[in-house]
Amino acid sequence: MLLRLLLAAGIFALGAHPTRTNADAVTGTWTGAAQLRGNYYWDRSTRVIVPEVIAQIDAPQGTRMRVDYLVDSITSASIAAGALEDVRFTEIRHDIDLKAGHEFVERKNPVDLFGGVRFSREPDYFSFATLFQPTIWLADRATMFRGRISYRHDEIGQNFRGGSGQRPGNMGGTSADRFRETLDAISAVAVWEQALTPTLLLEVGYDFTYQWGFLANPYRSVLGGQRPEEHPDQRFRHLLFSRLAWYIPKSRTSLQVLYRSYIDNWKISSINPEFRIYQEMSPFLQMRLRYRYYDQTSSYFYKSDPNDYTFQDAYVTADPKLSAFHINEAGIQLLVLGSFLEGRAHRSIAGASFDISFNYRWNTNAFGNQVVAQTGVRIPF
Amino acid sequence: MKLALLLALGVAAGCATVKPYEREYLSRPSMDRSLEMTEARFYTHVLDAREGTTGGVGAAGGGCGCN
Repeated sequence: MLLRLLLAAGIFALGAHPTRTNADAVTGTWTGAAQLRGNYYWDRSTRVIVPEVIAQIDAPQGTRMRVDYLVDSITSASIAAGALEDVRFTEIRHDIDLKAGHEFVERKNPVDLFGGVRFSREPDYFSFATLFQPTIWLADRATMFRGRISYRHDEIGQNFRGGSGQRPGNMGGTSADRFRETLDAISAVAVWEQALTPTLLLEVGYDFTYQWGFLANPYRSVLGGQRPEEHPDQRFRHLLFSRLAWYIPKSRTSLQVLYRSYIDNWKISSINPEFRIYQEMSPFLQMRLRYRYYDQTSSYFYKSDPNDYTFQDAYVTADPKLSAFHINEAGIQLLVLGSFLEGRAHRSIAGASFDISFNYRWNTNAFGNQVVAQTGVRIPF
Repeated sequence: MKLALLLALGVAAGCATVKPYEREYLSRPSMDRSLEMTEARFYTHVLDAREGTTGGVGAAGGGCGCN
């Protein structure tokens, strides 16, 4: 069944990002790009290393195909990841993302249709997601409207590590006993992007997600392990987001302000402003500095001490993400373009780009401070 | 209120269309958010696993059991 779905997705054709057509329609040349990326995450209980490979092909008539494969290596000693003893274990997750797109440029107002599927699998979790994204440009592409609708289905299991294998507390049974729950979600996004002036760009969007099913963590518990985590089985999530980008030609600087505002039916609300400075240091070197602030309220059923719950409470949680907390984040990125090798190296090398970034998050919830680092190289052909 | 003002400004300014030959600076790498989408994919994954909110960036997310 999985193989059939993969074949269908492959035939459906894979898509790159829809705002660029790199293929040469005049000569009928196929073009594309290959990317290698390395992603790293660290906090005091978890380390994640994710190598990633992306291949993108553009057909001359405007069809784009893209495949993205990553291996997620998660090392954790966290109870929330299934550890029964204070020892680290490593889990591997495989993720493949197949996308297709076609841009109808011959229209007065060009239209792009984009979609795809994504599969993710690890020992205790399987996820399938699909999306469809139509885009239309108006006013000679000064205005863009984009929609996106997606569906996701997750299958959740348990895989305790260490100890006797006996499930803790009142979870009952052992790791060998079957635990299967499901989680589904649909999401709809609407985005408007407008070129306000030759140097000013505005983006505004709304993101709605409805989730239903098992929304808790199968490893967390409260009351000293006597009661497994239990969340409501539905969640309605609303997010407004915006971005204002201003380019200053004289200094080759871009100043950007991003903002996200969120609310859901679990009574969590958040604000999230972000400021970015992009500075072109030279024709082939760009630096990005960013500062992000995130502040959220707690869910209505969250208690700071998991022992304060009773067996009569409808919902119980030990999830730090549902607490009230804030994050200050700072980051830097360097982007190097291979154009300085133009005339001295193969055109693929001269057209390549390399980026490396580092972000540190000062976090006040139980996860503690975090590091997010990424690097990547993109080679066109 | 500020968002409403920005929106109104956007609508009003949109009436004065920016022509294709005037969009040299808007096509700079720093102004094209789509160039950061691959980088944003992993970062969005971190936000979903470590913050209580979701959305606003990137394509459909796949689950990971890191709830």
